[in-house]
Order: sequence, then structure tokens, then C-alpha cells
Amino acid sequence: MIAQATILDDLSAIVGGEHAYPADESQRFVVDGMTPRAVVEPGSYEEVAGVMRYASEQGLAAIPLGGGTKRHIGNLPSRYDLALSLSHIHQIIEHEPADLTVTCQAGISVAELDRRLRVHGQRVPFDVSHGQQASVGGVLAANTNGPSRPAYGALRDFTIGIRMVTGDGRITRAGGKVVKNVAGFDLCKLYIGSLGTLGVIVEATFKVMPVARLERSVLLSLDTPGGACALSAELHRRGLALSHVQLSGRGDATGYSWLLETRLAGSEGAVERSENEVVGLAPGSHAQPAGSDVSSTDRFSGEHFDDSSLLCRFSTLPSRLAAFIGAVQRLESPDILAEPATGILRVSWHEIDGATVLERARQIAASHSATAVVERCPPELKQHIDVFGDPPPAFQLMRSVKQQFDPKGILSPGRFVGRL
Amino acid sequence: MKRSSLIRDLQGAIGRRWVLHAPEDLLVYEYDATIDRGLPEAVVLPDDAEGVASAVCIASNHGVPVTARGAGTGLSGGAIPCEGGVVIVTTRMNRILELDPENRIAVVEPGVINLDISRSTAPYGLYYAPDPSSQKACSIGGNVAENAGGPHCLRYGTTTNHVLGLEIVTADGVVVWLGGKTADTPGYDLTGVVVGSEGTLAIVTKVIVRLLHKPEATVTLLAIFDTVTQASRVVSSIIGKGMVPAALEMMDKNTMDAVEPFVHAGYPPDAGAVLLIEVEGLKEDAQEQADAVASICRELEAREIRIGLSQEDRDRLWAGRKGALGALGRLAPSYYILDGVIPRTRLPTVLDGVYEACDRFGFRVANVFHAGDGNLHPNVMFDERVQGATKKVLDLGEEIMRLCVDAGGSITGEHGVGYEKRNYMSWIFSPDDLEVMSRLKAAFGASEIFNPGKVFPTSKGCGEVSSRMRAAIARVGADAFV
Amino acid sequence: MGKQPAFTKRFAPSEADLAQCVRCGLCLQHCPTYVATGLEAESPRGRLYLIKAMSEGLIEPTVNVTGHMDRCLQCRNCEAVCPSGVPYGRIMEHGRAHVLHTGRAPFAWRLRALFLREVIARPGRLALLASALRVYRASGLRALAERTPMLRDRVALAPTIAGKEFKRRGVLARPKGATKYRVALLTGCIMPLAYGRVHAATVRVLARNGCEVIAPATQVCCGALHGHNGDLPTAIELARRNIDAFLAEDFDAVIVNSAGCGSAIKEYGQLLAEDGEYLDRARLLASRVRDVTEFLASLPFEPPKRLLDARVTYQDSCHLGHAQRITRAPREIIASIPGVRFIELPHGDRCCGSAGVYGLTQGDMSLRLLDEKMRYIRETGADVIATANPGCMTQLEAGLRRHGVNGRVVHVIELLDESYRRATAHV
Repeated sequence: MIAQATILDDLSAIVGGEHAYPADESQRFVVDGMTPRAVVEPGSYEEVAGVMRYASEQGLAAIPLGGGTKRHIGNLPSRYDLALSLSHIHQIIEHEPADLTVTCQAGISVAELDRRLRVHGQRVPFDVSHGQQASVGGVLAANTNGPSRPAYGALRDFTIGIRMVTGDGRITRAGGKVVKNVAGFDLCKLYIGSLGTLGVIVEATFKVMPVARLERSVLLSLDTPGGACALSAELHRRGLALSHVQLSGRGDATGYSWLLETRLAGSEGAVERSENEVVGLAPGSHAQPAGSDVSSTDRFSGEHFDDSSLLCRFSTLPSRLAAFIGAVQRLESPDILAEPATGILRVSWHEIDGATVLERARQIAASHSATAVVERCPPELKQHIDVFGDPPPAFQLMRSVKQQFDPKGILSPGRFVGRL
Repeated sequence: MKRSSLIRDLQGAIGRRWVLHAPEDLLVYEYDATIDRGLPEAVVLPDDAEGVASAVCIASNHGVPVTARGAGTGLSGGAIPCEGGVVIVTTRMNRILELDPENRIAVVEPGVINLDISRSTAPYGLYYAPDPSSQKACSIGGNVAENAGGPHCLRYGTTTNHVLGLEIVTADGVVVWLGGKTADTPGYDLTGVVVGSEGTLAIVTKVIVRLLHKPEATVTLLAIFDTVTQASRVVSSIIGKGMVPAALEMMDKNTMDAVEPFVHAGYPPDAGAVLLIEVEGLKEDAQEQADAVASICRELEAREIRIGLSQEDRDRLWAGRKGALGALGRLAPSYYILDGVIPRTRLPTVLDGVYEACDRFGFRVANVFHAGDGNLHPNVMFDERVQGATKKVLDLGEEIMRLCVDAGGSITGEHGVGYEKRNYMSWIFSPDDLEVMSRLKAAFGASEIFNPGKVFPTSKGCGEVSSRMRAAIARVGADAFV
Repeated sequence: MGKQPAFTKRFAPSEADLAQCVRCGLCLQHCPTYVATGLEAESPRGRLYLIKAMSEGLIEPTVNVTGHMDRCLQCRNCEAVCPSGVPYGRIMEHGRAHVLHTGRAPFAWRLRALFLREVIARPGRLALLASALRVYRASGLRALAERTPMLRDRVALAPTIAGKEFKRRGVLARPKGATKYRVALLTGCIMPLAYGRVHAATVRVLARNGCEVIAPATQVCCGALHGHNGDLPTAIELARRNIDAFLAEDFDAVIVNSAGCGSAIKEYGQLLAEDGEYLDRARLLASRVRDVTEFLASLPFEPPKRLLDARVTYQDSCHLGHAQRITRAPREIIASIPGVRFIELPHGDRCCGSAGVYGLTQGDMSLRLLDEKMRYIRETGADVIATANPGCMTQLEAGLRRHGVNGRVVHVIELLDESYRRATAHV
């Protein structure tokens, strides 16, 4: 095996001395308890390509990292030699407000991109927590979407181009910078959610949208998740100006409290009327307009899941969500954050026996035709499970995709579905 | 010899009735809505995924390629068997298998007609959003293969944004599901890459589509301008103000001339361009947007603005646009539809370039297109029967594609690369980009079998194979292959 | 390879007509046989392509090709929806004409042409055939055959004849009051034998609306069936005789109550395009022809006042809806009748499978279309099915018997007549 000092020397030759260093005890680059042998911070696409060529030649396993906020997602890496930090690649390449498109580098934080676009009254409809740290590239690699998906689409809907460095160090592009484009395979879709296992995302182009003229939230406290889901379905059926609807449940064996957050966005007339209808549809005394101060609590941001000892993400059919919640709620009274419109929910447990609870949770998921992914759990538990559960039907094809894109197994090896 | 055993095997698997092999029967599968041609050696019409899988396996054993075909309304030659082989037609697989209004999804077979999905979901207040101009004739399988768009894709996105899962048959004849009914499914987004792969990765045998609630209110505006440049400025201005209407379409003078006698839309004979703009949502939103759009049109000197609120009025405003492509058949025996995309801010300059190039080549051009997302459709009118005309038109097409690419755009927005444009791929993608795409093809094991000659450059061409087969038919007569 | 084109020059579909199709495919879902089979060769686009290939000498009129041409209903639904304006009906007629005149036409085609020429176009022989069919029905033979499982499908579409013949010629009726219009009535070949009552109703309704109605004595069969089946010389001969018959006097209009005949005469100008002697007069006659519903709706007609308690649906006759593009007039007439509840027939513009002699030549497909048609008719719950052509009436009556549906088939004009007559009876 090649010595760490040699690696650092070789990397320094590519990126410059101060941008290749040992990871030390710093937690910033630790993934599931594993510390890389070296951290490298390329400053250009060419340097990323150089690093990957080197990694490929030497057979070094690299994990691309942005802000590091999604490190807990994925299986245990089978190897981890290089932390490939993209923090130094963080420019906005091109923003033409009149075209409603923006091209930026992967390392820019979601918050920074947002700040720069808002100057022009525009935004990319990212819907993530930890926006200050989370990088655009990381959000794409982890395919992080939120409750605004029904209103504004998911990442796969508003990402129109991606530049990616392959495992063997080629700088390649998929898609383009126009909003409609069917030239060639749509590899953007493949890269979104690939968790750094097919290449290193270094740049992306997005459709941008205007910032809503008016945004307002209404919080409703409800007695049952079933009532909340039915209410949400009715709001969507009416086509109200919803930017998102989220349901949060907390409690213990003696009882749960359910809060439905509806966020409204659009023109004044539409928001006004929507608000009236939301309040009108909910049991009057429980409605609580939260004003324009949206999402003031962390209850709806998901950030309070950071210290959970087991965090699972389930996706079921919206029609089965209420029943699913009912079942999972009885399993050690977890915190629940659900999107009634998409049937996605995140469930967080504290201080429990992870393995047992997970097994039960997966049984519940299976009986409700839900997919289940462990988003956060201790590395010790990860050693015994595939966080993505049983391989999906098309796993053979996925393995063959991984084999084609990363024949040497150096891109975030082991982290993906089926430990690809 | 070889061919007769191929046909025997296919008949054994699919049934005699649904295997076509007489030359006259094959002849009608050599075309689609483009000017390309390619004759198949056999055509099969299976009834289900198993039938498709056996046809794929048999073709593969015989070493001949497979091309899937839906209604044959495609505009890039996607359904044309450039290199012969077996054509799998999906017209018999036309059942809507599941309709789930509560979860707003439907599971359909590939032969289902696009508009029939919306028709059958209408009682629930739901519809399927992508609306290619051929939506009353084109099949959803073809839509998936080409990632079809349409006027309303400006706001709602193209086919890929409305497909949640696919059942496919792979090159080795395996039937497998990609994606699913739930919003998230673990693993690579293979649904996303199969959509728009132009039949080169797999054959789709079932599709899960997402349905949308019909908007509460829709307002259609038709604005008439003296010049295309004025209309283009309105487009830039609407988009620049951050408005994204449901649809924003432009038709130029030549298109209006073709459409008017057929539709009687009342387009003034001396108008230079019309914009068709549709806004929708809550009635408050729709009204406000309509007012804003109307005031932009007035500011930029629209000579007339018509507004349609009722379904009937709106249909009337749309009639000219929906019938435009077919109506062009009245102006010339043939037309060549181009499909390019440019950043919306470049609309006026690129359009000028298009007119200039067509003038120089001596062809009449009609522009009818999705202005809102910068998706141009110059339709070049010509006469196929004139010696050398087709070649000249293709040269013109190449030049127009160049204009789009030089403006930072793409060589196709919704029709697909297909056969004619495969050589332009290298204008927008580097050899490395293309090499990475070929890795995907390799991963699907589909390198040779599915729809060869499309999307990526190869040495053989549609024309060669077709003319060879045609010569064979002409030589030995009708019973040549029976 | 120097093969002779399969078409003789004289009847070849014109190159310009063939070039009109841009293969956009928008016709596909409107073609009954394409929808039923999913086969491109059973679609308008496919058939045009085959005809074009034949005219280029690329393929021969094999049984396979003539079969695809044969299965075309010539309902012209495709033509009505074609944005490029392809004259499909004309191309198909010329296509068939050319196959017929190459000498390579299948035996069945030649036999059919012979039958149409020697029986349908000859009133005496046709009347003889009609008598035989009358006996077939009256003797109970038909009922027996239709109930015999082995025969059921084969005889389902055999034409049957009942009711009074209409033999009158000359002045048929004069209005009670002032004569506002002098109109001629095309009596045709099948209608007076099979549905004399429709003529009687037509004459009464026209008279009530101020028309003097005259049936010129020298008129003959319109030639529609001959043209559809490619016997253009006979069609032309019949057309010439009708032109002489109907232009002998200056009628305000020539009224036709059979959609197929109306569309054929309106297209005499195309049929006789190369007939220097008759062309101008052919166009003049064509310009005077009105379907009876079209004529009445343009008057406007006297609104009926008496109640007719019925659930009525309407099947567009293809040659009225698609060929003549008349869809509103018959609906207006039905809707004008007090007490009538009108229910739109789903896919009411799709051919019922009658299509001239199609029921005899393409029994399987014809039955398939009829069975589907009856499903939709059942859905409407209508007890009266109105249409505008004798062929459609026969076919739908067969459908009612075959599916045991209670109800009756009428010509639109009969409904108006019934309402008028009730009014008279009660006033």
C-alpha cells in the first residue's frame, strides 16, 4: 500500500501544498467513524480531474464532500482514502436573469447561491436544512428534496445540466443550459442521488424561479394524522396556492400532538383566499396563522433530527400515509415529519435499541408498500445492515451501471444501494 | 434462409397473425412523420411484456436489431428501423391498467394514446400534463422514448417530469421494473435515463404516470403583432419579469397563412406573428397574470389581443396552433421540421438568422414554436420530388442547428436526436461526454440491438438499408420474402 | 427493373393528391379499422402509402394489398380531420379504379363491379332482388337464420326489405299555401325499395315547409357505390344521366335524403373533371344539391310543436358528417322536437360498419364495428336511433336484432314528420 506521505506529496503536486493535508482528528471529513488518509481541496475542475486520475492510477478510494451535512447518508464505505473537498470550487459561473437559468459550481452553499439570486428576485427551489453549510453538489448527490416538491418540483425536475468528473479523471457534461433539452441520455438524472458513486459533480445548471411575492404560513393543530392527510388532500385538490404542506407529530405512549404547517405563496389575492380556505376547512379554534415568519421553529426544518439515534426515511403512497403513521407511531413513539402530498415521512427515534426498532420499522414499511432508507444510525449498526434495505428489482442493472462508471471501485465504494 | 427462420421463430412466439412479413405489410413500417425511411425484415405486434421479451430474445439470437414503434408520429425517425431487423409495434398494448385518482397516478401500457389518459382521468378532475401537438394520435410509449414535450411543458415540464416508473424489457429479454409508484425509490434513477433514450436502452412495456389536478381557472390570450421581432420581445419581457405562463407559443406569418384556410381563426392577412399565451391557477392568480401579460403585449404594441375564458373560446384560440403542423402540408408537398433550443434571450437574433439562412437557401420557412422555453421549430417547406432538394434542406437544417448551438442552445428540445442529427451531437458534447453516455448503453447491454443508428454516430445510414430493401422488392416482386 | 406501373394512366390517383400526405398520423385514431386492428396497413396513412407505392410501380396489387384497400370503409373520417387536406376518398376511389382496370384485380372485385353495374344500376333487376329479400324476411326465413348459431354471424348483415315501396315520379306534393321553393328529390336506388316511408316523410316535411316537390322521371342511381368500388366509367355514365335529368328544369334545390348519394352528387364536379362536355353542368348540379337536413336547417324550418316522447340518439352518417361535413343540421332538427331527450352517442362519428356493400364483402370487420356501436348505443339508453342514410339504417336495425335491443331506427326526417303529423292530428 502506498504511504500516506507519498500520497500527500503527489496530491500537493496537483493542487498545491496547502490544499492536500492529513485529516487529523478534525471531524469535518470523518464518514461513519472512518478517517481518510488525506484531504484534498482542488481549486478547479482540472485539479479535480487530476486528483481522480491519480486516485484511479493508485486505486485510492475517494469520497467527494461539500459541506459534509449529508455524510450520515449511505452505507459504510468499504474503503476511504481521500476526502475530496469541493469547498474551494464555489463560484457562480453564469446567471442570466432574463433566461431564468443559473450555472454554479458544486461547492457553493445553498444559502450563498440563494442570497446571490435573491438580489434579482429569483431563487432555485432547493428545500434543504442546514443551507448555510450544505453545498449544491452535496444536495444533488444525496438527492435531498423537501415538502415543496409538489409545488416546485424535485431536484431532478429543475436541474438541467451537470458537469461531472469521472473516476478516471475526465471532465464531462450532461444536459446543457437551456430549459428544454433532449439531446443524448439524460445523465443528470443518473447523477442526482448517486451519492458520489459514479463521479464527482463539479458544476450544475438550474432553472430558477421568481421569489413569490407573498409567503405566509398557517399552523393547524389536529387530533389525528388521518385528519391532517385528508385536509391536505383537499387543499391540493382545490389547487390552493400552497408552496408546501408538512405534518409534524410528537408525543409519547399517552398521546401525540399533530401540527400541520401549510405554507402559502403567490399573488396577494391567491394567498389571501387560500389562507381563508385553509382556516375555514380546519376546525376553527385550532387554526393559528403564523404570519410571514415562516418556519420559525426547528420542528419543521428537520434539524432537530441531527442527534437522533435512528432516523429513517419512508416513502409510501399518499393514500396509505395516515395508516402508516398510525403503525409507526406505536413503535417507541418516535418524532415524525411527514409530507402528506408525496407520502414521504422521516421518523426519528432517540435512545432505543436501533437494530430491533429498525427491523420492526421495516416490517411496517413492507406491509404498507413503503420504501425505507436509514438516514442516520450509529456506525456499529451500519456494519450489520444495508441502510437502503433489500436491493430494488433493477439492482442488476444498477450494479452494471456502477461497474461501467467506476470499474476500479474508487468512487465512494460500498456506500450505495446494495453496497455498490 | 436466415430471414425465414427468424419469421418462423417469431410466429412461434407471438402467433402467426401478429407477425408481418409480406413486403407490402413491411413497407408501411418504413416511415414515421419524418422524411427518413428504413424497411424492417419483420414486424411483430405483441400483446404483453412477455411477447416483447420473446421477440427481443429471438431477434438477438438471429443477430438482428430491434426497433420499437408506437403510433409512428415521431419527428426524429425514432421508430424507423435504420438497419432493418425486427420492429416491435405496441399498438395492441393499449390498456389503461390502473387508475388511482387518490394518489394521482395511472399505470398504462405503452400503446395508450396520450390524450386518452387525460380523457379517462377527466371524471376525477385530473389530467396528464405533457401535450405534444400530436397528442390525439401519439402513444405514451413513444412519448417516453423521445421525452416528448408540448406547449404546456413550459410550466409543467416534459414527459420525464411526469413518469414515475417503467417496466422495461432489457436487451437480454429480462422484464424489470424501474422506479415505482412512490415518490422515492432507492437506487439510481434509471427511469430518468430510459425516458428520452430514444429506444436505444430498452423497450418500455408499462408506464406509471403522474396526474395533475385541473387548474381552477385558465385564461388564454392571443396577441397579434406586426413583426416577429415585436413578438419575441414580448416573450423576453414576460420571462424576464419572472412570469412562467402555462404555455407561450409563437406562430409566424407563413404559419398563419397555412392555418387560416383550414381553421378560419381570423388571423389578419398582414400580421407578422401571433403569440398564444395561457396562464392558469387559482382564478385570482390567473386573472392577475393575464392582466400582466396583456399589459406587456400592449406596451410592446400588439395590434390586437383576444382573450378566451371559456373552454370553447380557448379551444378556438388554440385550434390554429394545434392544427398548424398538418396544415403546412397544404403549402408544399413536404416539410422538414427542425427542433432546436436556445436561451430565451437570444430569440430575436436567432430567428433573424433562421429567416436569413432560409432565404439564402431559397426555401420558404414557417416558424411555429414554444417560444416560452426557447424551443424553435422552423418548418422548411420543399418538394421531395425535386432532384437534390432533400439534400439541400438537410444542409439548411444543419446550418440552423449551428445557429442554435452557437447561441448556447441544444440540437433538440423535444423531438429527439434520432438519425439525422446524430452527427451534430459532437457540436454540443465532447468525445468524453459521449463516451460516458456509451457507458450507460453498455451497462444496459444494449450496444447493438436496440434502435441502432440513432442518437450516436455510426457508419451505416437509414437510406442505404432502405434503398437496398426497396430494390429487392422491386426486383423479385411481391413474393420476395414470403 | 422496368416493371410496368400497376396503374393505367387514366385513373391513377394524381401525384399531387398523393403528395399531400405528410404522414403526421393525426388521422390514425379516427380510422375505425386502425383502431380495431392496430395495423398501419389498415390506416389511412398506410393505405395511401401502399397506393402511392403501387403507382410508383414498387409493389403489385397483390391480394394482400387489395385486401388492405378493401377493408377501408371509405367513411372518410380521416379526411374530415386531416389538417393537410388530403383528399383521401378521391385517392381511394382512383386507387381502386386503377387496380380494377389493370386486369389484375381480384375476382371478387370484378364480380362486385359486375353486380353493381348490372343489378344496382338497373331498377328492374334491383326490384326483383328486393322482392326476393322481402320473401326472405316475410317467410320467417330470416328470423330462423338469425337464430341459428352457425348462421347467426353470416346472415346478420344480409340486407332485408320490408314496408311500402316508393314508386312515384313527377310532382310528388305541393304546399298548402304559397309555393316558396320548387325542389327536386333524388329518389335513388335503394331508398325507395327499402325505406319508401322515408321518402314519404321527406315529401310531407318539404311540402309543409313551402316546397313543391318533384321527382324527375329520368333520374337514375347516383353512382356512389360504383365510384367507391372503383368502377368509375359506370359512375361517370350514371352521373351524366342524372345531370341531364336534374338540370332539365331550374330547381331551387335538389334534395337528397341519403347521405351517400348526396356526397356523390356534390362531388360530380371532381368525377367529371376531365369531361369537357359535362363538367360545367356537373358543377352546377353539385351546387344545387342539399341534404334534406341541410336544406331544412337553412330555411329555417317550421318548428314542430307536438310532443314526441322519446330518448333519441344520433349516429352521424359518415357521408353526411365526414364527406359533406354536416353535423349540426340533423342535431338541430332532433333538438327542435318538443319532448325529445337527445343523448349524444359516444363515438357517434365513427362508422357503424355499413359502408355500402362493406357488410357483404367484409362481414367480420363490419360486425365488429357494429357490435362496438351497439355497446355505445346501449350506454345512451336511447329508444330511438336516428341517422341519415339507408345503409346506416339497415346496419343499425341488424344491430338491434342481433343484440336484442328494444328500439327503432329512423331517418332524422321521420322524427320531424312524426311531430308535424301529431300536431296536425291534434289541432
